[in-house]
Amino acid sequence: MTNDALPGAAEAYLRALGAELPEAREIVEDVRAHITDALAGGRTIDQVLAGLGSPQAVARQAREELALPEHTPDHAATAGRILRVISVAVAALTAVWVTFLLPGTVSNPPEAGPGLAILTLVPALLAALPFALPAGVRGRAGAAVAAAVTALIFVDGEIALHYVPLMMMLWAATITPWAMRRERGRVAVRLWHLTAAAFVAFPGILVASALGTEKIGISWAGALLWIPGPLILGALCAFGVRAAYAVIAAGGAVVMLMALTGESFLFAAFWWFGALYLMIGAVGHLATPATGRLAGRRLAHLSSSVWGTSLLNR
Amino acid sequence: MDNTRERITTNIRKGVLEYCVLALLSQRDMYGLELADRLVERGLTASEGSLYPLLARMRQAGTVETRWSTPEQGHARRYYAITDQGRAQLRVFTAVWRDIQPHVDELTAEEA
Repeated sequence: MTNDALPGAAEAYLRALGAELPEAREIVEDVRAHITDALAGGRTIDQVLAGLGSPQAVARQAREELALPEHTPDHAATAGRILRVISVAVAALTAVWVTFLLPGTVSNPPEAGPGLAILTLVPALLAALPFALPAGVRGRAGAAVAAAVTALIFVDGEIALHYVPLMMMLWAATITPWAMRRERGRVAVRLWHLTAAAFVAFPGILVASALGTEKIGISWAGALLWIPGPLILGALCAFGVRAAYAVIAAGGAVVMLMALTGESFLFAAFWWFGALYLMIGAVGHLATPATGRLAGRRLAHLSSSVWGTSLLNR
Repeated sequence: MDNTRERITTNIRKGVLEYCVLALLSQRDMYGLELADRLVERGLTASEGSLYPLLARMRQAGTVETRWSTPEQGHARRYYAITDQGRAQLRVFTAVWRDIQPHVDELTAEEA
């Protein structure tokens, strides 16, 4: 192992190569030794790097030689990270609400002072905790945090009203990456889309049936928005359209913000349902492969199997 | 025309590079840059970077092995050495090459 300090350009080259070839460290090590020796032999860094060819070309050759699968980014880890960021945001929003906006209730007596403000931030810090830990234990730490928040809610039913959305997001951030890494059967994926679709279409069906039995008075404009909107989105979800899930996540977030700003007696309903749609939308959007991504994976699979055949024929 | 030349050169190099590495290592153990320099000066590889993926595959295939050597001055180096399996492959390649080469020479003699 050579640990001599190398010029910045060399380190950048090795970083780029390492990022392209996470599974072939020995090649990166060999190239590092090559650069060190060549520089010691009097070559300039520009000459050395030009002689090596681009990191992408070296990585491409390594993939061919070693029949490595095409380098695909870890979508499961990305999904987990984004869901965790959303969890932290929900936790922070909850803290702001409980501390500053909530009218004086049992959980917020006027004499509580700054101590309470810090206390309400604890779930947000807990939600963010896995980010501070090594990637290897992040999954388990996330599950532990989700379990801790769930236990807290069961111990103190009073806070459940506020912290259930956080609990939902924490479990989504824990379960989604785990489920994405497993081999998902077509039926399971179809079932997930259909369940999500049912949840999304539900308000539309509810409004339509209420209108049908004339239980509520609703303007025609409102009916036009509330009936076809959820039904169309639900249908798009059933077909696994990623963009529809993004719209639902955004809608859920807006409903949650409305719950906080509007002083509605239906606060809990808006707060929980907003969170439910935020969760369904975010999970659906992150766990559904983009069409391009799927095609890319198939192509990579095809090219690696073609290369495998050509290796055998050598 | 230049494109054709490049394509033909690349293809032939691809076929023989592995055995040229084995031939060089059959003389003595070498570290990466040494091997790269010998190959480049003979025009057997255009990009030094392509040597290392090849060496990684050869190591997997068991035709070469590596060892670390620390000289009294300077830093530790990974040396590549040919294995018995590598020598056997080199012998087969040499025999095949000797068979093919005269025929190719004869057929292309008029064009030279």
